[in-house]
Parts: sequence; C-alpha cells; structure tokens
Amino acid sequence: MPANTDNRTWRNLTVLGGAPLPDWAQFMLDLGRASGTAISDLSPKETWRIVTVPNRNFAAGLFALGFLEANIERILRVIDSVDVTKLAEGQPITWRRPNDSIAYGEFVRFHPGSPPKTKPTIEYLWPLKGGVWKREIDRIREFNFSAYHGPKFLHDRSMSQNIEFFQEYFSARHTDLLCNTVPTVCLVGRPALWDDLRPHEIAIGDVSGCLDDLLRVSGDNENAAEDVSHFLTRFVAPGRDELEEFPVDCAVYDGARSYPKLKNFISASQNLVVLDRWESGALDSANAFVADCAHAGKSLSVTASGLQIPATVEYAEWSRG
Amino acid sequence: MTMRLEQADRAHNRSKDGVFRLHLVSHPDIETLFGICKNFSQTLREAGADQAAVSEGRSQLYRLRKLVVGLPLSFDNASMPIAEIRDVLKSALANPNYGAVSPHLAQAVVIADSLLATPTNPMEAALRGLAEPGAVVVTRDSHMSIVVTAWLDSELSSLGMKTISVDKMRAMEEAKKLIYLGDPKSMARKYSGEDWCFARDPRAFESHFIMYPFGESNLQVAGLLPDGPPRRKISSHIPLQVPHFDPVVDMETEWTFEERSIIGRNVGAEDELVYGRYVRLAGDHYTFLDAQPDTKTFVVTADSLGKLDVQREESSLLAVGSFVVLRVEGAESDFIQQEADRLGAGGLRVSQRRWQSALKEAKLRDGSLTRMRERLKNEFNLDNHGLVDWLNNPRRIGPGSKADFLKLCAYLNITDESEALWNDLEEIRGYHLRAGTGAAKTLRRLLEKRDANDPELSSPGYMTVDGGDLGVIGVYEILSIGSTSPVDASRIDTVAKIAAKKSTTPNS
Repeated sequence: MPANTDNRTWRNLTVLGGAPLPDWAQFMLDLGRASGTAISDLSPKETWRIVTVPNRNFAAGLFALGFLEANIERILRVIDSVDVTKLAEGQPITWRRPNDSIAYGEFVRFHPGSPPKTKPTIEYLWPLKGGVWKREIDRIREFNFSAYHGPKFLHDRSMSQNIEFFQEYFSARHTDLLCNTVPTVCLVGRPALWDDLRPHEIAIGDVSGCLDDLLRVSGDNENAAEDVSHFLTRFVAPGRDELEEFPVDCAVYDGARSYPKLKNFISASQNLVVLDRWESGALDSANAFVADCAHAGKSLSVTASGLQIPATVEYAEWSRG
Repeated sequence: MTMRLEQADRAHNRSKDGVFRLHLVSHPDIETLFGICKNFSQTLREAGADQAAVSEGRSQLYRLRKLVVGLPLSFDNASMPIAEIRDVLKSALANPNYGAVSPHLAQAVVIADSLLATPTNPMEAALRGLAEPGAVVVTRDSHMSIVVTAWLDSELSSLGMKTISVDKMRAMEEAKKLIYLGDPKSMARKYSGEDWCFARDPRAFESHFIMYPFGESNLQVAGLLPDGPPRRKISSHIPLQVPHFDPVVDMETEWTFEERSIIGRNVGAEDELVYGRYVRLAGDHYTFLDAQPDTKTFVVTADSLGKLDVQREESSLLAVGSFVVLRVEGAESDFIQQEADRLGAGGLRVSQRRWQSALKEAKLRDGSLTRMRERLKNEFNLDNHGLVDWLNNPRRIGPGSKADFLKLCAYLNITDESEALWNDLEEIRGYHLRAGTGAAKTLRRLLEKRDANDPELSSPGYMTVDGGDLGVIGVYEILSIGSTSPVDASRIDTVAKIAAKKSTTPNS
C-alpha cells in the first residue's frame, strides 16, 4: 500500500543485494503505513497496537518508517505553512548553506521593504558568523529557512550522512524535509533500538542506507547530536531521570522497559508496543497492555487492517474515541 | 543481508522451523527419588511439622535430586557432592525434629549409597551421543554450567563445546544445536513467572532435552498475548509424569548453600544492619547490592560497535549474566558519592551527618528501634519504613520528602535547623544527579576501548582496570542473585572474595 508524493510511488526497500524484505519486516513496514493512513483521515481515535516477535531488531524502526512515509504529504503541508516572516523574536531558525550544511540562528525581525525599490527582508542573529544578518524574502525559499525546535547548535551540521539515500527515498522534497523540524514519530527505547537504526542493511535499488538516514532521528543519545542535524523522529530513552509530557503523532514503545513505564509521558493517537519475546519483563508488559484495553472497556482485535500477520508475529490492537 | 536484519530473520525462522526432541533416560533409584521428594513434602504437610526445623534435610534431599537429574558426571565425581549430602542426611536422621519425615530421608540415604556404589550416570551416555562441535549444553543454573564446562574440557575437549545456564540464554547468539540437561518444565521455572521463551523462540534450530520421564506429557507453549494459538507443541511417545515441585527448595542451587554461609558474617548488632541483596559474582567474588527501591548500579553492555559501554541500571532489573561495575579498592564511598563530593557535595556532608548523628542519639535516648518506630508513627505521624536505612546507612542522604524530613527533625529536636539542613540535602542530591552522569562518562572512558568479546569477560568472567582517582575498577559477571538480608552497611557495593573455596565450585 505505497503512499504517493509528487506523483511518485515510494521506492521499494530491499535488503542489501536486492532481495525483498523478509515477511515479518515487510509486515512491520506495512503496519506503519496503515497506521499512518489512519491518522491522516483526521479521526480522533486513539489506537494501541502490540506486536511480539522473537527478535526486536528493525521491528520498531520499520514501523516508524512506514508511519512517516504515510504522513509525508501531511508533514510537507505543515512545512509549507510555516511563515518565517511571522516568527517571534528570538525564535530559533535554521537554514541550508551552499555547502549543503545546516546553520543555526535566531530570528530578529521582519522588514516589509518599500516595493519596488527595496525587497522585504528578515533579520536574524547568526552566532557562528557573529552579528545580525539579512536575507531577502524571495530567497528564503532557496535557503529553506525554517523554524527549529531542537537543541541549540553553533557549528554547522551536515544535512545527512547519506543524502543520496535520503533523496532516493523522498525525491524532490528531500531538502525541505532535511531543513525542517517536524517531530512525527517518537521512538522509545534503548540501546537495542538505537543500534538497529544505524547499520547499513537496507537498500533502494543500488543505494544502501540505514533507517537513521530516513527517519532523521534526534534524541537522548549523546552521540546522536553530531550525526544528524534535524529530525522527523524523536528518540526517548527509558533511563531519563526527568521527562516532560509531549505530544506526537505516533509513539513506538520498543521493549518492556519503555512500556508501560513511559506511556504517560507521551501523548500520541497512534501507538505501537514492540516486545521481544525473549526480553525480561515482556510478559508483564503484554499483560499491562491487555489490562489497559480491559480498563478502557474495549476488546482486543487480533487482525491488522487487512494485513496478513506472519506466523512468527503475535499481534493485537484496540482503539477508543 | 547483514548482521542485525539477518539475526532477526534467523530468529523468526527458528521460531517457525525449530525442532524439539526429548531423550528419555532411566535409572530406577533416581526415579524413586522423585517419589521420595513428593512423600517428604506430603508427610511434612500432613504431620504439621515445623518446616524451619527440618529445612536443612529438605534442602539436601532436593539438592540430591537436582544434581542427579541435572549433571552428566559420574555419581562419585568430586563435583557431585553426593557423599556430602548423604552425610548431612544421615546426621538429620539422628535429629528428633525430623520425626515423621525420617523414613523418607533414610530412603534417600540408601539411594545415595547405591549411586555411589554404582556411579554410572545415564545422562553421560546420552550427552556423549548428542555431542558434536558447535553444540551448546544448557544447564539449569550457572553453578552447573561451571561444573559441566570443566567436565567437557576433561572428557570432550576435542569438540570445543560450550555450556550456558538456561537463565543466561537471553543474551546468547544462535547455536548449532542445544542440548538441555533437564526437562523443559524445570528449565522454564528458572525464568520469573515460568517463562517458556527458550521453547517459544529457540536459540537453535535443534533443541534436545536429556531428561528423566518426568514432566508434562503434552506441552503447549503459549504466546504472550491471551487467546492466541500455542506457539509450539512438544509431545512425548512415553507418558510422562508430572514431578512434585517445591517452589522453595527446588529453586535453590549450589550457590544457595554457599550464600547461607556468607550472609551471617556481620559484625554489627542486628538493629544496626541495612538490607542488601546478595549477588554471587564470577571469580569467587560476591557483593551485596543496596536493596532500597530505585537504587541504580553501573552495568557494562556491548555497544553497536562491539565495544564496552557503561549504563546505569536499576538494581532490581539486574539478571544472571549481567556485568556490574564495582570498585575493588578504596571503596569507602561509591563512584557517584566520590564524584558528587568533587563537584561540591563534600562541603555539605556535615549537614547529612548532622541529622544522622541526631538520629543515633535519639536511638540511645529511646532505647530501641521499636520505641523509635512507635514514637515516629504515633507522635509525629511519620511512616518510617526506611528508618533502619536512615539510621545505619551512612550513604543515605535523607528522606526524599521534605514533609517527612521536617517531621523527622521535629522528632530529633532539631526543628530550628531543619530548613537549612533540607536545603543542603537538596543541594547534595543535585550534585549526585550530576555526578551520576559524570561518573558514567568517566567509567565509559575507562572501558570504551575494551572489546565486548574480551576473553577475560567470558572466562573467568571478570576483569579489573586501573581507574586512577577511582581506584581499581572491576567488571564482574553476575552468576547468581540471592536473597535480601540484613547486612553491615560496609558490605554494600563492596566486592569480597569467597574465603573458603568449596570443592563444588571447580574453575569458578
């Protein structure tokens, strides 16, 4: 069930060498796509899904990617609707530099200009170069100025470790996606989850890459900040001492330590719990999931939006609202 | 396909295509022993005997059963302490407390003598028949794993086979073949909540169980979600009996007997002890971890590059096979306390000591812990579950709730100092939070270049690193997690060596 953007069909992900994804991996990707489609119909429904698998590798990541893919059109609409001339003073912004890196600054003010003699401009503080700089509004699009919600950074960051792969997947709007901050999916769990976002084990045609290239993850892992500049996916670790509640479209709880421990901190309409059946505490988490369903007065469904559930995967879901 | 995706795919395939085979062995004496265990428990229950008074005999009886059905060694092998068990059982027979259960112990003594006289263990032949290079032998516990490793090195060294205890299988990679020494049900009981993960999602395409005909005859292994179809069915051609299971003594291991000889070695009076959880570490080491809720311990894991990484883990989540980081020398304070002191907490410790010394004075004044508890509860409305810890554990910063602390200060007659003390304690806690991050980074720097497959970590299961200001740092594999007991505060998080190495722990 591929989504479409710019009138193109999403490219097929394969394993390295071109073989198709195994059935369980394709199922996780398709389940993410189906969940992403569920949110784009503006239904206020809150859905909780659970899968149990013999090994958690790639399950959460592929689901998140499928969800993101199904939401790209909506994400692009959000990006397009940002008006940089109306940002608040001091609001962090970022923009693409000619060397394909991303710079950080703070919005200062908008000048309407005096057409036709002078063009409208924005002023912004650029700590790296020092002082206040100006940019004409009609060139803003060229430089992909955008509001930014991530942690401050002073040194330019690379747009992507694997821009060829990113471009291959997201096509013409890949620069918009890279230059803008739209938290869409929250991945909860470490360290195993973090590990399978990184390795280059998937491909699109001849171009190999990793899930991190496509999901643009930002999060608590201290090493992550230097590798990725912007993000479409948040990453939260159960080990955090303090956590504020935040809303996101989709939350993926990877492992028994993330669910139900962190579920009250994350507000999402689409939720997935991934349990490795070998993991300590997995049974308790599964029981907590079933209890939540019962507490809400709902019953579990074991079908997945018309998808064929692989024999090695256990699946259940429930919804409310 | 490369590493992680392939790993997962093979796990799915094993779950789908894995084969289970039961290899039944027989020995009349040992099969009789199962009935004796059952009769012992039944008589004990019916006679209304004092269980504590016969606990030693009961433990030894079940110990005998566990060893003979869980190890492939000759019954007269030094690592099969059957003679030792027999002697303890014999001495129990002379104890009048055993009364009604004595006949069962006498039968067990006869069986022990018979096994020693004819020491051929039928499990040995079955194991030799299944042995091949790349096969991994699975034992019921980590002590048995050490014993079997030594036996394989001696008897089948050319095959290079490895062993693992069933409760450490979460971390293992795929094996060519798994040979379990014991029945599936007993193995499942080694996981909390009787988890059948090893049968649901096997770590090898071939799993063999060398077992006596005791166990479920038609096992259906359920998934994690309710009402789903069974994930696996295991059946036997021979009708299998369900053995009597005693949830207390059947879960004991050789480590339990060792632990009993260690936990009582306190120097403080009973009401000066704090609660610690006994943890048996590799290399004949042990420690007691702080049993307070939410206590965290540094653990070592492998990162995605195969190097060592350091994380802070809740102590309650530690499991057999985890690696903990502890200081070998200079352990008068822990990592975090030392780092916190360096950051600034050191100058504030006087406030921590102030309320702690006032609490000790109050104990002298009130005369007993019981009296203190009564007064705190009745006169000051203070829940005092943590009183013993507040009193005896010098590392404790203070009650976590300000309201509780103010009540405590009122009891201690230091109300006029309470606000200032509380502010200092809060500041100390802030330093401890920062120190937690700082100490983790320091440890990570010390260990990051070490390979996660460092041979020292697999055998002998520990290694030490010079930590500079932190002293000597030790990384130890957890072999067993024991019970929570009152111990001297100085024994918490301190590595100690097992003083007298028992003959039952070869190569540990």
